[in-house]
Amino acid sequence: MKWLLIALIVIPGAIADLLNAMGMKRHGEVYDFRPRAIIRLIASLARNPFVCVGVPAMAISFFALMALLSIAKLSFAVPATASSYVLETALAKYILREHIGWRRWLGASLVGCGVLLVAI
Amino acid sequence: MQVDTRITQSLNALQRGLAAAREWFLMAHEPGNSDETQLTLELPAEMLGSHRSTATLAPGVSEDRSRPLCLRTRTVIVLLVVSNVLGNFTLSRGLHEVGRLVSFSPLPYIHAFLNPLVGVGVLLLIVWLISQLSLLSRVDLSYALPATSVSYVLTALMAEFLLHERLSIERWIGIGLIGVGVSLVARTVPRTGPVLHTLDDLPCEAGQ
Repeated sequence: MKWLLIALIVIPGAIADLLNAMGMKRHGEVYDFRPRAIIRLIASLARNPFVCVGVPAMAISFFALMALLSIAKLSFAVPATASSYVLETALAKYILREHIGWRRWLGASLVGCGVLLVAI
Repeated sequence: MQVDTRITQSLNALQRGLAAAREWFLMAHEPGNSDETQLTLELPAEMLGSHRSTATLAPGVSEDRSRPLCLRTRTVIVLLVVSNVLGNFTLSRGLHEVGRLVSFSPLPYIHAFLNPLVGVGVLLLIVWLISQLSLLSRVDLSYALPATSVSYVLTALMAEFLLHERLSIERWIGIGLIGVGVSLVARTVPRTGPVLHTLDDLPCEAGQ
């Protein structure tokens, strides 16, 4: 059950991050953080198809995390997503066409290893 | 009493969160503390200065509110990390109070939201969602991901200092690796993907 929940955290989480990144790049950069501007931002994102799929995928990932948190310790639950760092960096390279040099690869791998170690 | 210590611990966590939020707010209004040049998505100067556009103000709206609250990319990352860590922490404590929660029916989840700690946690995660989306609107996904992994370090340090779980040597090594990885990624250009807008023709108002 724990590992099923982890799959439900990682896979929808990766899809959500990809779709949200695409949707937000399409939306344009967000600079204003006043309450009204945030409400306008939410209204505008509600019509953005990428974000409209990405956020529910994030919610699936989130509820799976909630369920996992209720049966496992925080120190097991949170770092369980460690593998997503390298996975999502690769997806960002091939799907989002980001330029990923050696620093980013090394950085993402180190972060993934570090998160794994923290999980032990 | 165990409940008392739990409550004081949660209050301590909230207090720290508020202090961090205040710091964040002060940082947002301070235009000139850029000691890091890696995060190059700084705002143009006129966005941070007092930008008066009284002509478009509706009557009754005070002039102070006409100033856009522009946050730097670094500030958004701090907000994201803090809300993520505190959100996960309060949710975890709240859910342990609620009890086992593995179900495919929505009712136990709705019941869980009635717990105040869970409520605060969910609010913090909404803040996290908004800051995550605005961060993704500005920088690459592969830049944002490691930057947000600082939350693991904070979570582990909170386990050490708030929950008094001793951190093993492996965990300290892990924290060090995360630190090195994050500082490597921080030395790259934040945005490399196909750019749809240039910085110049962006309005400060979002959502247009």
